[in-house]
Amino acid sequence: MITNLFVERNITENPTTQNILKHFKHISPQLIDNFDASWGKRKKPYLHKRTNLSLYLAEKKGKKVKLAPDAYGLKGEPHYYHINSYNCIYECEYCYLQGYFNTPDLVIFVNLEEIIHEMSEVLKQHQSTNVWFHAGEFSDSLALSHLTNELTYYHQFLTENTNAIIELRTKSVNIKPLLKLAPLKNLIISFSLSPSEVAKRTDLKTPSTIARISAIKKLAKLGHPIGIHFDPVIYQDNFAEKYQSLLEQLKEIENSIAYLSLGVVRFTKDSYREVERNYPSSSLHSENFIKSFDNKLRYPRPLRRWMLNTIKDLALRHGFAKEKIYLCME
Amino acid sequence: MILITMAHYGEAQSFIDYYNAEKTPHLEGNCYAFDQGIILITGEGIPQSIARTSLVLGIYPQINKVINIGVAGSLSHLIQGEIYSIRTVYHFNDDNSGYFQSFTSSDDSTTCDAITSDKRILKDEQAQNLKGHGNLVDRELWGVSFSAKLAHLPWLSYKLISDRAGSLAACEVVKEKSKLYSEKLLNHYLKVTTNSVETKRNEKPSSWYFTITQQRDFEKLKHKIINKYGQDHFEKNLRDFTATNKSTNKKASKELIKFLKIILSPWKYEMEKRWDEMVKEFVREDITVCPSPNFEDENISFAFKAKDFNDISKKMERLKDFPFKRYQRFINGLDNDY
Repeated sequence: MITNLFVERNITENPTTQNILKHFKHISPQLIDNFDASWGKRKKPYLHKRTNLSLYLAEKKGKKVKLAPDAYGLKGEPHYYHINSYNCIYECEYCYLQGYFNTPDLVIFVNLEEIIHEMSEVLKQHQSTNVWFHAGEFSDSLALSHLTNELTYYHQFLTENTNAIIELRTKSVNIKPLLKLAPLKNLIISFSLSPSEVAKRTDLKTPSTIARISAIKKLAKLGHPIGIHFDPVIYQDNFAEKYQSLLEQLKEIENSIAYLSLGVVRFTKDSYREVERNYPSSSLHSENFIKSFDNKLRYPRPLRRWMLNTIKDLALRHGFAKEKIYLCME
Repeated sequence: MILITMAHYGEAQSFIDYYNAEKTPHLEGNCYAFDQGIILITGEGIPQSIARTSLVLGIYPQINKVINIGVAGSLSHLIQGEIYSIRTVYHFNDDNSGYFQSFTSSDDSTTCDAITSDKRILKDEQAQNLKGHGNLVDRELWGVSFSAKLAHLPWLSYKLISDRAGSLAACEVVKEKSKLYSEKLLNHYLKVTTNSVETKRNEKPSSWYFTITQQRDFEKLKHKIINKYGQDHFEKNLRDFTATNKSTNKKASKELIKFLKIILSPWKYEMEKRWDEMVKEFVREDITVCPSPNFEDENISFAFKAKDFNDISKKMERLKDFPFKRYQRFINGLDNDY
């Protein structure tokens, strides 16, 4: 629930700022010089977002596009992520953002032209290959897109640069802004999905799995390419049956699925400590995680690999091409 | 024993009277003692409140809870004259300076956040800069809660809204009404402290013999199983186990713990079983087989004792039979289902 609005003085006339302010007429914005002077400068408990969430509208300074870590997307092409916002309105119990920033307060960067410009500069370095730009590294990339109007900027950029691919990672069903845009081969809307029972337990304040699948189908029917992330995979009874059922529900739009990524639940030590603090009753604490190869907490390798193999085999049996499936962060 | 802190004597006077608290020789007349606790006048400002609270916590190690009480200026729509319980306190000044740490009270039912400021907020523009970061502003709570945190003590804070932060005449009004405010705070304090409920202690199933470690393991497993599968699932399994295992001695408790571990993580039990199965013949022949921690890589170490060269050759020969392929399938999740 957004209760406070902070706006940097130099961007008050920006059209995105204006558009966002229109949505929050009931809150009088406070003008500030620089969001960095107060945002994250105090340790604000994560769950205060439920009752007292501030939204900062700011200008992204410094690097706006960064190289993505290894095993981030399909192999063979360079992957970048661009920074358009910080923090998320949802509350997934496993979310690494809990331990990443010192505050749950949201920041939306409104200098979209500059972000797009930096993406163009990156493209120039890779003229002979496709280049991926992932949105949603630090936020959900669709949830607030009706406020930011950023999709129209991406759409224009992708129309002009066919070797650029943008992936919008989301758990949202806020697809209305997308419905106004013609589908593009290089604009991929990717959804994180878990079996319903798991999502209900861990993906707090997010649309249900059924609602997400319904949004996926709507977009796929209009011709939008879809990415699916089975991430995070969490062990449960009747594991294979539950993923079998999930794949079954995606069968009719299989041809629209550009890729399927699989990632087993994982935590840095800090983010796990935050999960313990924020969700002491979470069923995640009943899992026997261990310190794995990169010091992150994961299931032991035999189980991890078995879960990934099981889903991969099921997906192959459902007709997914092998090259469209990749393992994320494994 | 409880420590009640206020910034000024005016806020404390009703408490001192009600409890018949007597001046102690500490802190130049700012520390009062009564049967169940201590009343401390911290003074205004963070250095004062940290120093005095920490000193008192050192003098009286019996203190197990800290409660800060006092008046504060509103930064939002809080109602003048109402008392609010504080959730989190931040240190913030009107120029954005302040410490990074924030402290959260043990009251999880409130959503009111406080700011402790180094300066009195007497101008509207000062108050404007603090808005959005907290609902009210005081001068000492951050210091009191910092000291409580250092001493690993829970803290609570009740703040009466005396004025709107940013008004010049606020201090005078507070002084005039200090007796009234102090009484109001005392009444509130008495009301909330009599309503507090003691937390329930852990219980073990009746008649079972548990060692301290087993008791701890049992509680942990119970908590985890209930978290994951629910209370009914836990109770049903416990009933099933006790129906088939009549004994309740130490050995039976060990079996119960093992049983609950399997209920919680059947895959873990299955994984360990597969490993034991793989190495059992070697263990029987006094060869210790150790995988990499948590099976994260493919390396295995073997250890054995040998009495002569012949013995070494025999054991080395035996190691040639180690099922490496099976092990690789196992750690890559390619063997049976979990």
